[in-house]
Amino acid sequence: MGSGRTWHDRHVGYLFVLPATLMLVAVLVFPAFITLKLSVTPEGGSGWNLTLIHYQKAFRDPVLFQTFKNTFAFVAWSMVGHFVLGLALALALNQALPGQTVFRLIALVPWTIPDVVAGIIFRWVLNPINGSLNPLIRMLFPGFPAEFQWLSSPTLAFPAVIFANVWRGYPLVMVMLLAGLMAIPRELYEAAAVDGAGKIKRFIHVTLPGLSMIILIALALDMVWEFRRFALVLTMTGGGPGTLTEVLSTLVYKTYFQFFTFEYASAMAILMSAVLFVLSLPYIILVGRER
Amino acid sequence: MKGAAAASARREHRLEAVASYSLLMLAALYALFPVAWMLSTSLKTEAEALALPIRWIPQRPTLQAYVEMWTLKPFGTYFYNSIVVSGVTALLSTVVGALAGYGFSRFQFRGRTSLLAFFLATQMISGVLVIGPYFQILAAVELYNSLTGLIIAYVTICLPFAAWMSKGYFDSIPKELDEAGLVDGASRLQIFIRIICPIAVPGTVSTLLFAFLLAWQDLLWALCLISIDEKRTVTLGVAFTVGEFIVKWPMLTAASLIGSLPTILLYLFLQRFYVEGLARGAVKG
Amino acid sequence: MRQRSRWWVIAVLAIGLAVVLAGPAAAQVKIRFQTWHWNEKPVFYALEEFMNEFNKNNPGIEVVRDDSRYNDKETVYIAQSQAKAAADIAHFQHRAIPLFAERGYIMDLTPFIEREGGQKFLAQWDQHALETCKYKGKIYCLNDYVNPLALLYNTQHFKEAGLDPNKPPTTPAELVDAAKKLTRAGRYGMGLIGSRQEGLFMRFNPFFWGAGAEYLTPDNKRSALDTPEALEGFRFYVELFTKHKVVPPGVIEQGAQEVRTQIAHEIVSMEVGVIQAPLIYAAINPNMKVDEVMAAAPIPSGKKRVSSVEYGMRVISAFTKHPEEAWKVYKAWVSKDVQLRNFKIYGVMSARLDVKSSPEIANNKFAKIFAAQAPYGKIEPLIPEWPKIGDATITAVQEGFSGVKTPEQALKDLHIATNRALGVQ
Repeated sequence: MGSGRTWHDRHVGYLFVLPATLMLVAVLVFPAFITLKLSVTPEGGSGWNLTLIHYQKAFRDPVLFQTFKNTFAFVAWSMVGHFVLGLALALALNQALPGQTVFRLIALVPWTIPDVVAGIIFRWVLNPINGSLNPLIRMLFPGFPAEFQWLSSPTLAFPAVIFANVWRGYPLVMVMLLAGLMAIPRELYEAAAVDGAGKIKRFIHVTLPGLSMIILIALALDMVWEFRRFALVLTMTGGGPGTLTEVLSTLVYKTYFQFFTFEYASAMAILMSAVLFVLSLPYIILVGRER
Repeated sequence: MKGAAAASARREHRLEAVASYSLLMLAALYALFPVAWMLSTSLKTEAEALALPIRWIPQRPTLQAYVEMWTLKPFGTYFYNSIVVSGVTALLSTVVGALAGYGFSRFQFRGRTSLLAFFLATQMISGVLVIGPYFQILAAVELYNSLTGLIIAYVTICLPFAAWMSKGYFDSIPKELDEAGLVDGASRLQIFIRIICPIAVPGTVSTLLFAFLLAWQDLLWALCLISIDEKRTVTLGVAFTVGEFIVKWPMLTAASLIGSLPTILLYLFLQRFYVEGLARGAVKG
Repeated sequence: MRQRSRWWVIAVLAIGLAVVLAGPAAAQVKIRFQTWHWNEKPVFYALEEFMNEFNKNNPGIEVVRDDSRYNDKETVYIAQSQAKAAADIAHFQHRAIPLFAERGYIMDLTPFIEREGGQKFLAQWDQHALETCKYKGKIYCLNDYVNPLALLYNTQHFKEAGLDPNKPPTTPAELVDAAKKLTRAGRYGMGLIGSRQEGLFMRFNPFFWGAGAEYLTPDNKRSALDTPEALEGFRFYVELFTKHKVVPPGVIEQGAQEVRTQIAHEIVSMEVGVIQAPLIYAAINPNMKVDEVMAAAPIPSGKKRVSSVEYGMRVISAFTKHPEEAWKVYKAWVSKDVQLRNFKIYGVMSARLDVKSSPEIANNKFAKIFAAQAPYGKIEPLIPEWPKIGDATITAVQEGFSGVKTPEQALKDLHIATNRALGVQ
């Protein structure tokens, strides 16, 4: 009966993952292959005349290099912001405080504003002439310069974009972590308290381990999604000043839809996917490990 | 001894409450200040929205934008389309994703880790490059300008997320529960539906919201796949308030704010739903 | 079990009914007429009238409204063209023509034009404008409207600054001088675009070309940005903000609409603008007496008198299923009657010679000046590589504005980037 159960298990396992796998293959894999093929096709050409010229160009392209650097910084800082704020809020909201529901809803609001709208609004709010942020700051700190530049400043533009992106994305991490927190049985906390553990020790030994799988998954997904985020950056700065806030996703979009060089855009996208895949390998291994 | 311990526990509890409230207030400020500006703008006339110097409180507040979005522009239709697309996307991706997540969580089948990797890898495919080919497929089966075509795309994009998230939550549910069901002679599917799902509901909240929002907020796919007004989504409708020469700020902000409401309502509804379900699991909060 | 099978039967019947009903509806040929102007008034009224009139006079063909969005009109067209399902007739500006033609998305109209009389037919249009419709020996469109730019300035501010409102600046040096005098009392002399949009070139180019510079060599094969004239023109634009400080802060965030808003609220005294600008000022600030206060003048471009110009045109998709009917609609749109009516309704200048010289233009104080700029209108090189070069130009201007690079360094890097885009080693 033992081996029969194992065989049946494997069989049934495939059935559970089958619908999702089929959909992914049908809808995404065919275009992915087209992208791959495009990236090794000479410009404007067709058929099977393959070339690596676009990849060669990519390795020599200083704009692409700068964009990669920007993207790493963008993703890393956004992940940090999302995680720190998301975890802190999840912990705060996991308590039986009065007014909890209201705060939960408020914390959720940035997630409900579309990227395009968020980008335009932040751009407006941060404008030196007709933006609403500078007057607010001046109310609190009258010495603050009246027409202070945010998105036009070479040093502050990038942080401003991070600021907006953290705003947009923290609720997702918060909701994921909150659900994870709720799944940790109270008995574990009570047992630790009986053993004499203080707040911090309980956090380290009960909360974090209980949350560890969710945290891993949240980080992995957030990383992939921040690499893809483009509407916010595009509407907020257009990649500027110069190329200081250009990220891979906006560059691919521009190269495809504005420069009309589909082949080069495909090569860039393949490179981006390759890098992303390498970065997520640790997560995949950790998540896939048998517990 | 007990009195002192209780007193220090109370003080600790109060400190925690104060810290929590401070954090929540700060976060509320961060979350709401752009939204406050949006609200202020939505209550102005188009001319006042562009007035300089800017005013936070409208001089002559008006609900014009809120009325015009339904009368001058068919936002009623747009809302219907968005709710259908986002709702079906959320449900389908959660269900199919949960099935896959359960498969990954409970079964050590051959190629499991590779398949997990594959699921994540599909998320790395740039949407920009997928749209052209996907559109070709849709045009071939005459699903262009259809909500169905949009739904299929959105569900597929959400699936890896849904599967990974579900796996995570299922992993935290002890396998003993499954074993108990097997001993009772239930099939795997029955165990999944009757035993695991009710406990896993909190986990599905994030997936449902994520999928709903992804479908609701997307611009690029909807822009390319829909070109007739009757099938337009709310986000598309908002995007169209940005013209070549004029941006209709009051309508843009009003429509965006109203567009946030379905998600908020969804969360409220789901919240009540899962808090009750959690009582079984003896959880804090 | 019985419940379920009943639902299946109903579903199948419903689908069958839908198929049957949907079947014979295709007696009308539908021509998708795509433009972003459907969402802009007053242009909308011209379109609506055209659509109703054509449909009435041509039973069997139905012009159908198709909306695009100004900011992503090319994006949607590309995606839909790849699926061979693009709109039959779509509206673009001249920069898109080489790109679409190169990729085979738009239809060569030469056969239709031959049928109509070839050269004689084409002679009805401004020949200069017609060049933007030609690519590699084929002709892909017939021009719709011509949009030259001019200097717009606030005469009241001029008076208050001690300048003669009837003597607007005629050289770049005079422009700087006037702008400096106008920068006072919370105002700035000049509004410039620094944001990443096509409007930036339209303002930058007159000063660039006016200094005697060119983007490329005459054969369009190499960059010509390493000349002293290029540096002069480039520097002029950037230094208005960095050195002379006559431009408001946040220039990199300023798009065309932001500048117009600043003019309308009298924060800025001058701008290089489009013919629709006066109407837009009035829409933004109903209290501004635009006709009294604002005036137009030629752009003080420099050694060469030059202005930016933008051409609008429609194209027929190469994948249209009804080329004959599409041509009928196309021909009607570019006919004299429709073009004249368009001008009357939304004031844009047609590229048709018999419409251009109409009394309405001569009598409007703004239109008169703008019309006079049209002959000096120059456009960027019409090559497929232009978008990349243009984007790099914007990057260079932004780097100059923000001080990340000196004008010299920014221009040098632009020169290299341009050559790279052209494939020059």
